[in-house]
Amino acid sequence: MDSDELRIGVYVCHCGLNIAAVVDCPDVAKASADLPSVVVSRDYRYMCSDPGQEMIRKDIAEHKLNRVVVAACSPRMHEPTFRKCVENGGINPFLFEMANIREFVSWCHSQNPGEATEKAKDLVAMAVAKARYLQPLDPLMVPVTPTSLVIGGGVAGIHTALDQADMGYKVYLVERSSTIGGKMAALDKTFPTLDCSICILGPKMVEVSQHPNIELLTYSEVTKVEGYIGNFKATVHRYPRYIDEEKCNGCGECAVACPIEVLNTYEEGLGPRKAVHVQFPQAIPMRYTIDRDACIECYKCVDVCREQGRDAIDFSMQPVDVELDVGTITVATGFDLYDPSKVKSYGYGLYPNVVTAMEIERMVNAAGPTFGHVIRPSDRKEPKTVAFVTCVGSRDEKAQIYCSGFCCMYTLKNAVLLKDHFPEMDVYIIFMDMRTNFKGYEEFYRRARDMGIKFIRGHPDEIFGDPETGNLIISVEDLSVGKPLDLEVEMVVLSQAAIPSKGTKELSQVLTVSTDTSGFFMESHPKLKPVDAATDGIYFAGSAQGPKDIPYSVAQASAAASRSARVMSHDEWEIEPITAYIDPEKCISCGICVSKCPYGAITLEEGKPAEVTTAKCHGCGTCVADCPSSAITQQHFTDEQIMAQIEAALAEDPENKILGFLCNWCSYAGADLAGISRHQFPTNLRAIRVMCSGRVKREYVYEAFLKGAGMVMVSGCHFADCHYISGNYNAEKRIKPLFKILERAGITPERLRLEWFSAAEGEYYARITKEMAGLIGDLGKERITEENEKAKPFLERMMKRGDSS
Amino acid sequence: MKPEREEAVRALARHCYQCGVCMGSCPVARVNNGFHPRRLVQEIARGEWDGILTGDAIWLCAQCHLCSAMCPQDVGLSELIVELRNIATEMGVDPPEAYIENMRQISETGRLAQVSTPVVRRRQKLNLDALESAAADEIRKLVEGTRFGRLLSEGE
Amino acid sequence: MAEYALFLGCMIPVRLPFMESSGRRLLKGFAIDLVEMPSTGCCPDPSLKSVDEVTWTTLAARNLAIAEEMGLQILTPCNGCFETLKTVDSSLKGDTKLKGKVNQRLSKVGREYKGETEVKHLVEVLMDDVGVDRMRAAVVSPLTDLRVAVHHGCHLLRPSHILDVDDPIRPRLLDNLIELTGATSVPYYKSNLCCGAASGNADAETGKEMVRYKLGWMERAGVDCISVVCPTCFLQYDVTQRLVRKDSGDRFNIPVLYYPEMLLLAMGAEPEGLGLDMHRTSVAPVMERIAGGG
Repeated sequence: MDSDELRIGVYVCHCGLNIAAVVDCPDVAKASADLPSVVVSRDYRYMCSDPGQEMIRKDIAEHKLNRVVVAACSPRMHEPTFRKCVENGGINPFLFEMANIREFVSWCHSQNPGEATEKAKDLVAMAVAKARYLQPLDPLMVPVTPTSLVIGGGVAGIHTALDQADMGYKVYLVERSSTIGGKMAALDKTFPTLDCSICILGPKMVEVSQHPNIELLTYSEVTKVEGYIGNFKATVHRYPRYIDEEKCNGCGECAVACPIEVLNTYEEGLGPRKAVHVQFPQAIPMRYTIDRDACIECYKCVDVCREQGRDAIDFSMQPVDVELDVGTITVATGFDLYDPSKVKSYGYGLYPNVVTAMEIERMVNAAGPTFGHVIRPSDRKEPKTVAFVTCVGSRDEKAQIYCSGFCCMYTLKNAVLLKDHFPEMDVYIIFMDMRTNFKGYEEFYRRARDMGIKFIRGHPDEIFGDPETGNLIISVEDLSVGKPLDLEVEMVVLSQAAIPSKGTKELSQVLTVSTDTSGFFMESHPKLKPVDAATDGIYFAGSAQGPKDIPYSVAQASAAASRSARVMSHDEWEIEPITAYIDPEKCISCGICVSKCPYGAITLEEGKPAEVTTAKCHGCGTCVADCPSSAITQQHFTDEQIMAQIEAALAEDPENKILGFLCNWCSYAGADLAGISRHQFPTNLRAIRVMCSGRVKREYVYEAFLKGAGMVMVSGCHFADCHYISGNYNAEKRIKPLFKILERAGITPERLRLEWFSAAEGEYYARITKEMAGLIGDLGKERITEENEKAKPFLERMMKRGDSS
Repeated sequence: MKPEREEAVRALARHCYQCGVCMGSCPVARVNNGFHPRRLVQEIARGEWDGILTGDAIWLCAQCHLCSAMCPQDVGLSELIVELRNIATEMGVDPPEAYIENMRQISETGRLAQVSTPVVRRRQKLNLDALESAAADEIRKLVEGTRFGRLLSEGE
Repeated sequence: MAEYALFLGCMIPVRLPFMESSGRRLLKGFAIDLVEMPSTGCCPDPSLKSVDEVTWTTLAARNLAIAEEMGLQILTPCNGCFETLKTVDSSLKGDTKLKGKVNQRLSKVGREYKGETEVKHLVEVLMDDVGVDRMRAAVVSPLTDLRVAVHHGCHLLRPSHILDVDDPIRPRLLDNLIELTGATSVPYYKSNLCCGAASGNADAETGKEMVRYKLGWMERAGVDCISVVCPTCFLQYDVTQRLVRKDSGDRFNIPVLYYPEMLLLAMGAEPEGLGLDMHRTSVAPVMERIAGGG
């Protein structure tokens, strides 16, 4: 566009005092007024507020603005807000750019207002430089399949499925075990009301099986997912039950006939089940399954089923892969329990009378393996004294650092149940803190005290099992009196930590969603988007996103249903048009882009230029960076735009600066988190946002050093976690050789950094920024300038060559 | 004490959430009320140093490292106590008499224990070779001018 | 055939020569060669770390340098020496600044620490170089019916990320060694706890009470003797136990044996040659128990 025609408006937000307390916003606005093509430059308290947005709309009209730059919070926060605002003001929403001067400046450089203000000016200049090359784009509309996939059939998955089905959407509910119900189906009573767990869950399970809109696929796992919001294609792997679900009616005669007994995991290994089995009497679907590992193929079950006239057993069954077309996916895969034998000092597995909370649940349950009798595994006698120990593997730097949230309550519950059933039993709870924060919970704690349960505040260092008596001696400091105590009891119950469900890591890669530092699925925003994944169209419900109790899980389940209905209720959904297109004139039909695209979005026909199928393109930019003839452009992240940002970033005092390329999904988000968490670090880094590290061309690195940069950082997601599956692998392949190349050119190789960190690693980002600033300090401006000068001829040659493969 | 050093020591103690695992596992606390590692860490974390460096308590620790091995918040308690002891002796506080005795023995003979006639006789009875003299002179040279050396000469 | 530089420390050769002779005899029997280290001194005692950490490091580095000059790894039969030497070796290997500072001091006596040796405890060498099977095979008079309270001692195991010998909280090393002799390792409460010697340096009464505490739990579990692999622990149980006995109405008379002594007995060694009469707490009850059962 002719530069005379460019009319840019710049708005510097104070964000109350969030930005203004550190950055001199009027000064930044003043400096920005002098940037090329800027005709209006203002600062204001709250740009995202009504008056703030109105200000932009008015200026667009009065000053005939055709580009808008807002310097405020992270674009991951308010880019959509301001895009809508400028659209309402009459210009294309993609003619808008944000400069992040809050998470990236005021929040992390609060001790350094002078440098922070200069950095803010740089970031605005970079945004203006990019804005000059922005083009209007039309969003892509894609059709929406009004069908939902819910992964996980515990209490959360069940409720999401029911809500969605009641709203009229078709739902596939996939559950990997042979029945739905999850952990809740194994509980005896639930806190704080002491409802019978399976009694309240059972009817919901039946509702799922009978709902016309829900198709239940149990004994199945989701192994592959392709596509994007509104248009996912999921592959479900169905394991063989060796029993035909259509023919079986759940009569159970096969199990009666089966001679093989193994330990039942549903009963925590305390009771048996047959090789042909259902998990528990209320299983849904009520269809039997043969455990081939235990089965000896005596065929007694086959005989008996034939006698019944159903002939449902089929040993020749094979696994089947089913493909489902869905519009949204809800992940409700729940949690697992930490193996307490890993906390060696507590002796689980070593001493028979140290048991877990789940084991006690099954014992106390009248329908459980001991028919409601609580007995010591060593001698099957009822214990006279029982001690509960909390925080086993939680709040522990050597195990899980987080608090598992519901253990205090379930410990109280189990203690209350014991005291209720066995009033003469001496029941102790040994605890560090008692976390009883929701409705009715504190009252439940009082009830426990009322029943005469003895509370000892402290955390045991050791549990010792007396080989003669089977009793346990617990060593603990009784904090209330400040003295060590050796408490001898007949049985110990451990409340272990909740950990991510087995298979979470693998599923997160299948869905290209992130997990947090504790391994649970990571929500898009901890406050405002607690059930959305960062990937559009995918939602979380229940403990999959972090340990939580039943009411919280159910609330999240309905929330996820609502969020997904937001999408499924439309015929079409808007997709951001940051996709790639190929210039047929420049394309040399080499086919490299075809091989690099993780979505198979590019096709190459014999003798023709390659072509991108826009609907399949997710916008990573890897093809752009790997094209040897620079024939591919990524809309909204063009070469010109990025080069302009590089130039603007390094216009002044470049030797002191780190030019960083941060990928939108992981490293940019991680850097945001560093600011949100108020980590403090030096101001040297100037960040350029790309959608994926795969977008980063070698030329950008050469250009940065040619422009005098002190350091360059290219960062992306951890391997196997790339939002675009393979972008970071390609980035590494492309950038890694540069270390040697730069060294030969005379540049200290440590001045280039390749970093892989996740959206949860704010602290890591702060740390490496400090390191990099330290290196710049150690090398010194003189040496950096010298090296850059020396490398200039070499780098210019590399630029001319257009080396990008 | 320099503020940075005090800050470094306090930083070691800050993560403690007062669970008492150190107390439960401490062999000294079991038998001596005057040694309370959990309270010690809390006082350090709060910056309430009075009496800690000059007191007897910090010398009671057996350096068995059980507390550090068990602590769920990775507070290096036994390392913290060694640091406090080093600061104390730097400040001029005398370590317990037995420590000075040990140091004197090492400085004079190179060993912690005296080689006497009964020792020689017992070794002969067991067909063991006579003991070489230990390198006391090398040790003395290395100890000269150090805090170790100063503590010894002050004692004399 | 393995060869080590033998670092005896102070306590064993001077106060407990029967520990030295049984250790040497056992290792020789399994073809482990021990080479004498010239000019070593006290490791130095771990207590010195509290008084002057840098000097303690320097004196330890001097001992390590001697082994480096011999081109051998160090074998030590004492927990205290093991912790001192291995901890210093580990910290100098990881901190070039400290290493420089220490070498500057060592140059005064013409020595240099290079980080070229390793430090092993006698029981590590037994487990790794000899192996449980070979030791078990050498047992001819199993110590059947002997109930043993195993005491690993603090400085063999902790700090575990440096010493890396066994689990710091539930160690099995010494239990396994005891069981291969045919004896039974009896679990007892607080088996992990320190013998109390180090605290005794500051307050003799506290040190004595710490031994009494341990003996109490051992007694409750019902044991015939205690097994140790450290001279300081040995003295606490052998000598300090007598003080405890004096003021507790003659309670606590549990003999203590050094592990090599026990394995040698199981391998058929004559008790007279082992110097067992030099123990201050009589081992006669143990000999009776073995004679009865073996």
